[in-house]
Amino acid sequence: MKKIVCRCHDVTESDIEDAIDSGYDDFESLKRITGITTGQCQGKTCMDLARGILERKTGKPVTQTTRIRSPIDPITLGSLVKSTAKKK
Amino acid sequence: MADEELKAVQRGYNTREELEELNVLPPEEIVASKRIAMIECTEEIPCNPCAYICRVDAITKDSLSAPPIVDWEKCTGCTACVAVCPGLSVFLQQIKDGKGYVTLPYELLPAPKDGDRVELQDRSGAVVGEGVIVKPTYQARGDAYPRWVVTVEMDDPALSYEVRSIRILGDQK
Amino acid sequence: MVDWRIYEHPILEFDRGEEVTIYLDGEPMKAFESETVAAALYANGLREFSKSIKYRRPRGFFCAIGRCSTCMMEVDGVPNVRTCIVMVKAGMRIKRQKYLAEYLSPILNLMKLPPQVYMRLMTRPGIIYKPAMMVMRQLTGLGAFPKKVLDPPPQNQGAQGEISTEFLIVGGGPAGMQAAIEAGQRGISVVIVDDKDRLGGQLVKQTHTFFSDIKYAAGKRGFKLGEEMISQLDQLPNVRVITETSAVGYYPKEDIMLLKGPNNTTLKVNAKKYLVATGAYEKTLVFENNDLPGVYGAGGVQTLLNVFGIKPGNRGILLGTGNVALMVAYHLIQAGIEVAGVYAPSFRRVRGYFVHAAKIQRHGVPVVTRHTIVKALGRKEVKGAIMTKLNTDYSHVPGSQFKVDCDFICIGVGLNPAYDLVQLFNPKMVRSGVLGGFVPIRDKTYRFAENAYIAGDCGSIEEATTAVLEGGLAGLHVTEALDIRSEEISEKITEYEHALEEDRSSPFSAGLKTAMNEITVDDIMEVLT
Repeated sequence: MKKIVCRCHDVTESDIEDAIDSGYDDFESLKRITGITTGQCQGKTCMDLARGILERKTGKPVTQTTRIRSPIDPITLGSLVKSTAKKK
Repeated sequence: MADEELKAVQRGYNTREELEELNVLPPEEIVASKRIAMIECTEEIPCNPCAYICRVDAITKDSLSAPPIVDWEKCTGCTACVAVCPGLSVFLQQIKDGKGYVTLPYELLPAPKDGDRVELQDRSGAVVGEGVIVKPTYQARGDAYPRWVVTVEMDDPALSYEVRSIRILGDQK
Repeated sequence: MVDWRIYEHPILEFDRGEEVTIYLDGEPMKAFESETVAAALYANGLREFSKSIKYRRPRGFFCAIGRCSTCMMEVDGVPNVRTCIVMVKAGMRIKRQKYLAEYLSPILNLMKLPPQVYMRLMTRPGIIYKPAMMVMRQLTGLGAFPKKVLDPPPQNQGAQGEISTEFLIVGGGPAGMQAAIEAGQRGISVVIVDDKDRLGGQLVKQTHTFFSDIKYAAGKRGFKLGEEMISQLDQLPNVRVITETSAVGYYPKEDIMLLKGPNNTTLKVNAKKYLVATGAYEKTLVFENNDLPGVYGAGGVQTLLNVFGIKPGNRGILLGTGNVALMVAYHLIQAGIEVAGVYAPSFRRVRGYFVHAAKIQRHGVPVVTRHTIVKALGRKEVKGAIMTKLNTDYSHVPGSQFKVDCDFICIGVGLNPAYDLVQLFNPKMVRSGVLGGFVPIRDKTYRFAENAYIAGDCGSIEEATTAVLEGGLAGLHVTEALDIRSEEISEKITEYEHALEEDRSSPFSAGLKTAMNEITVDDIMEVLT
């Protein structure tokens, strides 16, 4: 019986709680150690849930989202390269 | 807190007593004299199609969000507001020749037919009796996509204070 | 043969287009042209679309809008296709991505590796990386590369374009469309993009009639309102509509918005003004087995029901008592599906409009506050749910657990403003519980960055009707910012502002109004620098 927080990387509630207990108690490091918000969906479901868990465990409000960078929607490397290539 | 009594807003529907207290239900003598609209819309929400559609100005709203007030004298029971209310919270009631009549909006299948037998449900959804559909009309007003406006007849006139929904059983007169 | 399609509906008529045959692992299935691959498979009874990456848990249809990635399958030889956003074509061959991992994952799970290790195993030394990666790819079930170059190659693969325009609107929902209408009617050249195959946003699945002032949208059914707005846009030659295209990124240095269209095409757009009207994402809940096929977002269920005309199941429960959950319950009743109950932990009141709750209860669907879900039952798909009563501190009342039989669970616990595209403009973000999540500080003209504006749910979670008004206002303010001014425009702005004020005059919006005032400033540039 698992409680899934991140569907893309199969991160469970207890994975996140364990990570917070081991000291990763701010959102950026939590993201790096568990891989949440870095999957296919870029955190559309897990960010809110993980933030809730973090706030519950630490008692501190999370006031920042993670840093967002382009691309925000999956795109093939081929078309990304093509679109940025300099025209001759 | 065990099973303390839930308030209307926690329950999500009103009881007849609550509505009487809020002065939403028309007085008995009017129900006995004509078909009359009652709007079980007791909460302040920004909405006004009922007041807009009423041809005799029987429905007034002090502001966009104020609950609507029905003028029992002016209302002609024309069903326009039943067809237009986005909250499906307008009903008509009448007691005539010892029988109760309730007119309600209906957006489900099967499509109602004259003479269909129905199960009558009260505000909580509990089945309180059986009735017969009289004159269902398919109406489209105020740009609303059409919906059925159905009048049901019931033998016990007291039920007309409770019945707010129907489940169609089929036409076995 | 199983068919979950709805052929009789009291409100909607489904125009499904031509019937075609598609193949799942070689087995023929009935599909219609207007359906996505995922919808067609669902209608044929498929519930498990893929297995999850680590624990190999069954995953199915979830978001229905190309976000969650749990419906990835191999389509015509291409692995990892999100089947919920690819339309059906005759003769399409779809395969489940089942590889080595089926057999090996139990062993790997026993090793109890933390997820980050699992993802980064065997990357060093370089010499074993390549063969190891081939094994890892199969382990994770991420599909196999095509054996040879696809023949014929997909059309327009990677083609690119560049355009510039005065006003680019991202998001074709009520806010984006109204902004396009207002700016377009005043001669601005507008480009509006949306990632679906049609404009309308979430309006297309809203079969209920709206509240609000009759002058605007009240009394209209959502999808009708959407159709009307689309036909208004059709009459404006200076408004260019681009569908099936999503915003991938915004690059401030180049002032370019990168868009991605079908078949991996890209489009670079430079605009004088941008409007972000990307709407919201659904919130979800953490409970045991919350990823089981059969646990859906309310939006996904609405899409299945009202866009494709497919039943999500025979008997379901809803979680949440906001307007979304209450409306979806009503939509399910209309489609003839049994709703076992609407459950939510709310204590003070039913969160949505009272009339919505009353409307479903009189049809015999109980709205049960002070309850929450403990777990979803079932191994391959939902077979039931265990619910519990709550104490006022949200702890479970001991011994109050009970089982509800159902074959789907629909989560409608609220929305989060879509925060991602907004943030690429480097705005000042604040978190507001009342407004739904992270939203940018903006000024009275809805500007939140130098050239960017915001409207609709991505700026504050509200109703579709308020999104229309906000969109209209943003469109008019952009028009003014592009130096087209007239008395008519300022009158229209006053009219919209008044309507918005009225719409927010109920006690429901009291907190929202305060929160909006807090995040609205006089000079946005002062805040940003």
